[in-house]
Amino acid sequence: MKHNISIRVNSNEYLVEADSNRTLLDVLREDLKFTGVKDGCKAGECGACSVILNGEIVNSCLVLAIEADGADILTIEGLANGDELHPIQKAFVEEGAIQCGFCTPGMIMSAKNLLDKTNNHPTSEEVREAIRGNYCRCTGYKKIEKAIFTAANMLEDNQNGRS
Amino acid sequence: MEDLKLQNPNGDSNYNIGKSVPRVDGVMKATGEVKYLPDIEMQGMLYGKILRSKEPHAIIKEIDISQATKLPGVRAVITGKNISTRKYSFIPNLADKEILCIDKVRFIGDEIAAVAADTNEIAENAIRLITVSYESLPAVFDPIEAMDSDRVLVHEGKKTNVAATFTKSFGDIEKGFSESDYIFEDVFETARQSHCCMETRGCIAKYDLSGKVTIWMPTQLQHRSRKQISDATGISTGNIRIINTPIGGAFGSKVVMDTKVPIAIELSKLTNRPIKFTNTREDEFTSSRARYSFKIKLKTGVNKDGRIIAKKAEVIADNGAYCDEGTAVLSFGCAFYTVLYDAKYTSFKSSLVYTNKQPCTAFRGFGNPQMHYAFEAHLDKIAFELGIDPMEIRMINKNKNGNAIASNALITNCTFEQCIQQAAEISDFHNKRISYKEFNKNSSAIKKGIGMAAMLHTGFTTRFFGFNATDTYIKLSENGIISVISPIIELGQGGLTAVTQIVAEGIGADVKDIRIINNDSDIIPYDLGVYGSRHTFICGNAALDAAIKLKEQLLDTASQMLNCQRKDINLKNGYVVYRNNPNAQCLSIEEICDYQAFSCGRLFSAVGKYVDELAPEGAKPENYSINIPTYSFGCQVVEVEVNEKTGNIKVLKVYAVIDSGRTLNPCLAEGQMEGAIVQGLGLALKEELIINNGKVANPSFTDYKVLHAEDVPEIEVKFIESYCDEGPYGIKGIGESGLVPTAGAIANAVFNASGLLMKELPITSEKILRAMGKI
Amino acid sequence: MNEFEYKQLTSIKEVCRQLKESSRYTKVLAGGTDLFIQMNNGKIQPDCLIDIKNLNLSYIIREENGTTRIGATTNLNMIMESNVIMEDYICLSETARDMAAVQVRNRATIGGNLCNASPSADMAPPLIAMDAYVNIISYDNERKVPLSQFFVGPGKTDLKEGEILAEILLPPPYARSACVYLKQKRNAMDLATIGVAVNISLDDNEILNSVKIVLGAVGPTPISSIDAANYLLGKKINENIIKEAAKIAAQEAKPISDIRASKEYRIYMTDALVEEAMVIVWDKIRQR
Repeated sequence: MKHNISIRVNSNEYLVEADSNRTLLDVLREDLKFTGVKDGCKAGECGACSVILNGEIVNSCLVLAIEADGADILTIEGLANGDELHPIQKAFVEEGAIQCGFCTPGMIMSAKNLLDKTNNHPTSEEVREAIRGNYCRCTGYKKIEKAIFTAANMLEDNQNGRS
Repeated sequence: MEDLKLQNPNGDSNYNIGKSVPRVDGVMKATGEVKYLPDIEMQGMLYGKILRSKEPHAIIKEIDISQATKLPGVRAVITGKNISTRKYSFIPNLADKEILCIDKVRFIGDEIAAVAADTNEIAENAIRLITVSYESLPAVFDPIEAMDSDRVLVHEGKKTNVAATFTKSFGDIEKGFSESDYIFEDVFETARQSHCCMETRGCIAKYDLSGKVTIWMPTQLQHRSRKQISDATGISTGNIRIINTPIGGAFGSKVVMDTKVPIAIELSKLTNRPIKFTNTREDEFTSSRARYSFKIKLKTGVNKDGRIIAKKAEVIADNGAYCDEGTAVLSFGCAFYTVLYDAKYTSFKSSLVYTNKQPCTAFRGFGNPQMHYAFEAHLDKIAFELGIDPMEIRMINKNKNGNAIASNALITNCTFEQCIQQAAEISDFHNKRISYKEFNKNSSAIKKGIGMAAMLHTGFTTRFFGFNATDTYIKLSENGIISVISPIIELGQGGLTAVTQIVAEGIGADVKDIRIINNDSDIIPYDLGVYGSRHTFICGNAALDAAIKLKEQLLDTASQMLNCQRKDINLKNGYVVYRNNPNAQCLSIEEICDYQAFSCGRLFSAVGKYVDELAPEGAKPENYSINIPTYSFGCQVVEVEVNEKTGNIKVLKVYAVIDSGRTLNPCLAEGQMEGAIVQGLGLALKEELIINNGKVANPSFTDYKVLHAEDVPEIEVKFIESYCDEGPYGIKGIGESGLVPTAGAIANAVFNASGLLMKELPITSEKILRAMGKI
Repeated sequence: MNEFEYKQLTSIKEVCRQLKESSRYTKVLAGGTDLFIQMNNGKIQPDCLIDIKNLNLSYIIREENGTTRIGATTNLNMIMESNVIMEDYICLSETARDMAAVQVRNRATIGGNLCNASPSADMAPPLIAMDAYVNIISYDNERKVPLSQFFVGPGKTDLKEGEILAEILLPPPYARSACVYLKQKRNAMDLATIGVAVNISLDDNEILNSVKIVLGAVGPTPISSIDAANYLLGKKINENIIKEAAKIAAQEAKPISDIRASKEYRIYMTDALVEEAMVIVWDKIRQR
């Protein structure tokens, strides 16, 4: 059964025709070519497909495209401001939080969601809990956690007008 | 991590060595722009799916593909009978695998038929329409049973289920035991560890009617993949081109050719279209290959003062249904077992045994983590029985500079002793042993423990192939951009950044002006590939050779432009500087290149070479002493809490001391260590592919347990800076070292906490409770 | 996932009617975090999914009489963060926090967790221990069932054809009471290998005047450990009776052996976790 789905991704409107059984992940990657959103397990266990849907972080592999009709989605491709990387992206690069890079988009989206919700003041425990659902095989997570704190500081400085 | 300020031997400061340069491929990864194989689409591309056996051991009586062939959107269906009868394997004289099974299937997951279709969905539906009738055969799953079985032969042509053996002895081991005061024996077992790469493995193959084939795939062996593909398909290596796609994790899984590649080529031949295969996560657990599980029987003779006299290991490795890297893994594990602790007599006997299960392959550490776990845990027991402190027994038996007694293996720049000392110091090992003992007396359920494990690993692969050489070409464009054509492979370990830093240092350039071209086998120089902690070493050396030549060329031209003496000027961060005034930038490299091109009508370029001169000799069995070109040394200490009520183990902290020569990029090196340690924690405590009657019972993250962020303890890494003369700027490999001693250190910490010597990995809470007799 | 018809309805009665009257295999879709995995595996292949997220069943309301009503499609993150839950039923918030990860919790619903009825469903033991009821609605009827009677087998509930779980009701907590749910996990993101919920209240003389012990993942459904509870009721709380009660509870467990754990381990751990849980709740009460 095909549906006409209207979806807003990274502040742009898209119209997609999709069967009921296609997931948001399928549509983002295959129809809309947002290949930064990764397919790691299709079972909500690895977090590689994490996107922010109506302000909440979700596994896009466990959301039907039709369920996202009318929704506002933020993917990794929507973070940078033109050429200017988002502070979280900058922090990940600078702190060595990236190795193979496959988990990185999902991890950054989880970090974004966390920093939004905690107003850039997460505790260590909150950071580790926020990325519980993002599996990384390369880094051992330590530098990812550090990058999130570095990003929090950068965002705080930006907010307070310091750069 | 602080940048390390280090000096070059010739007195120049190392502007780029010891510096935590942000990785050069970081931005593209942080923005999601990097396209991994699953992200790649091509015009006319078809999607491939494979029909896999549901039986562990059976004769294929009939395959009916008629319904699948008729399905709209299906463009080709193939079975073993349509293609070749050729057999292949990574080690050619063990060739035992057909592209698609012809007569028999040998494990649940064995490839029987394949389909190419317009969409993934159609391909999946087509697979479901293929019917196979089997005649079930008895199957064998336990390697010990398989070894002795006449009843079940996994490969009937081979007359035995022992696929291969590897044996190495130095001295008469029985004489060694007779010279020992005490003899200790233990048996250890390790589990099958799945690589769990974030990217699921795939490939795209396109066969041209000119007879050439191009494969896009993530691979650790860009050139040798061509040989593997050639062995399987009969296409000559010269007609095979590999485009290495960005790699979403490897850890050894991508050394051996993906069995889907020759299948994709056959489908592409039939359809003249690009054929894409990607694994599902379930495929990654069920048909992808895992770390070899070892059963290790150790017998060790020691004197009453703790000196190890004789070391004997008998290892049975579960091969699975087809051969892969097994003999190399055993030989590698043996190489370090033989040398570690410098015993006078050593004996290593191993068998690689066929079973009706998924095959195994290379995994970071390559046999050394398994052997280290067993021997380090065994050694702590010996120490305990003799009343000797665990650190003390390691010092008594420490490896030193010079030739090892048994095998004559040459060790240079040895810091084995310092690594152990440093690890004990930063962890406050002895004080904690005392305070934890006191704590445990007064604590009912929670017992604290601290344990150590030392490490001997390679700093640069082995000389197994008789060859360790490569070239690197560097060209400078007219606008000063430095293009490095190098076989360096980026797995995530920072290979691109490493070569960038070395070239920047060698030329005196700015890292931002360096580009690396590394992903087309038609362009890049031949190299054996990225494995065995070799790639920064070999690619760095070749790149450095070219870089130094280019620096000379640049300075020659610059001295003409400046009308000065060549010896008075140097290059720093992309600019010419006078040696007596290094902070004043004169000409830029860009200006020199422009002058060279447009005023002199010439270009700058250089070919760099690295040849390991001893490699041909080092491959010979009689020259085992130089089989390992250079060693790396380390020691890990782990603190744990064992809850004796629940059996749960909490790792409090891991201290890791590592000497891998000079540290090129402290941040990236630390990241390698941290990641490897976490994999080591997984091997020790959580990870195991559970196979029941040939079927993987836990083919998902629900039940194959890995460490998530909240599971990871505190980790402290300390580098011992030494200088490897053969390595570029003194650097040695570090990619695997973090993983090698971890399981041994954990086992020893648990032993210290609770008195339980855990001889089977992973160490789970249920196993602890059983060991205590509580269930 | 197989092809299916997707519908979004806004009337509970209409949902119930369609569930009852449809000749096709129809299932309700809330968060989807269990359902889609089962559909991806081919275990379930419904012809029709009715999305119930627009039935206004996502709420947490404390009534004047102290009863709290939780709508069935309230997601686990909302439960974790709710002030009402944290004030009166902190155990439920902590349980939610320990489930899966934030990405899943933003979709997974309390109703879905209960209706999926996995033997290891984390929400079930603490809710049962807190005397929860469920409000079941059909086209022409409404009935309340104690949650302790809602589960009838692995993956099976008391819901009849045409019924949906609409609401979970929690009575106000007793004075001087505390509840905890302990779960044996293999790593940070894990379902329960064994789960134990304990809810006790003490009178001013430290006598146990209410006890609920509920065991999860050690039987086909959550098990109310009646014998252990009866043993404890009316006694003055101390370490010895806690140990004894834990032993009794372990005897009430009916686990199987599977790839996660053996039967013997589950029985042993039931004892250990019940004891630990009792100590924790006693401590919580003492500290008030």
